[in-house]
Amino acid sequence: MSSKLDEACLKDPKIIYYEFRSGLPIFECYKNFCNRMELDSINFIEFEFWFQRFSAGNFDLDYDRSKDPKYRTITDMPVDVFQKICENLGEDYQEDYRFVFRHVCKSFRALADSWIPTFTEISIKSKSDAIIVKFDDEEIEYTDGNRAIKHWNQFPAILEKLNWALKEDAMCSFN
Amino acid sequence: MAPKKNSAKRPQPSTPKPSAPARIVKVQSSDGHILQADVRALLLSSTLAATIKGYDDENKPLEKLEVNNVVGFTLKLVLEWCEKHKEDDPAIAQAEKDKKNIFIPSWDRHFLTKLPMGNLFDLITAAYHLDITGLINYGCKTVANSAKGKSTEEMRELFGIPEPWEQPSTSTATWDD
Repeated sequence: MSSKLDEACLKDPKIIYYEFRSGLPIFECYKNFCNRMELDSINFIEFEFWFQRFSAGNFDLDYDRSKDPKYRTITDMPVDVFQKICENLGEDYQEDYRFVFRHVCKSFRALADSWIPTFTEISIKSKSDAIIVKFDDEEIEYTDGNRAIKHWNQFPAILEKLNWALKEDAMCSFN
Repeated sequence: MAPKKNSAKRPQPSTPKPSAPARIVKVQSSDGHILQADVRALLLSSTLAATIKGYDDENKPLEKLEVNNVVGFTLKLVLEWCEKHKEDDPAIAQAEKDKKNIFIPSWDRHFLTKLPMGNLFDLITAAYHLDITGLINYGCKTVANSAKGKSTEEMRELFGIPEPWEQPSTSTATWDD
């Protein structure tokens, strides 16, 4: 058994069992597990492995995972498949997940950057405590100064990448 | 806008036809495991269907199919899925090939959600290599359902992606570009 899981189970051997018996989605169970244990020493992949074994009625805690083949991750998937997964996130997946994906990892960022934007108007407002970027009706407010400034500096390059003609008066407003 | 439901437009399975006697062949995985499968189940894979057709056209006896890019554990899952769907009307998979809003039948939902994410990715990749439309669709939808509504941090947790400062840098891509 994994030493991390061993450590968690020694604190309360029933806690993982409680989680998967709760009937909640697995990710919620993981969050509850982390809150209960007050530690995040088990990552989701490891938790999920044990959770699914318990769910299948397999309670053998002595299983040695070290000899398992290396598991595939989402970033190892063919790009077509990765894109298909994204398309299943919802009709407006590009608008809803573009900025979420850009900060996950480089593979996610590369995919999100390949999505051709459909917005027609960008406006940028600067307030004393925030910078607000608006894509058509979608508004993103940056309150973390460092992050906002970093993005602000990237903006012309991003527009250039997207082949946008930067027309100051028509597309950007500075208040 | 409310999500469109596609169940109404979904082609209904055709009335089961009287079953022909099963034609069983051996299928060998990349790590040498030999499994057995009904040819009708294997025909759900366009890749294997082309190979089988090649044997039939030349009247050559088909004793063993080699699947060189799928390991035994994953191949077993693929064959289990194909066996379950071997009676399906091919029009269903064809109609759903490019659909973005896919309905997952209950058996498939149970089959796919019981798998740890790593195994699910292996299964979808195998389905991609073997060109099994239905399995690719349901697999991708299952992963998307897990990721739906998640934040950046939650996506990293869900997919086992390291934090940015733990991610290896490459010469061609940085977080600042």
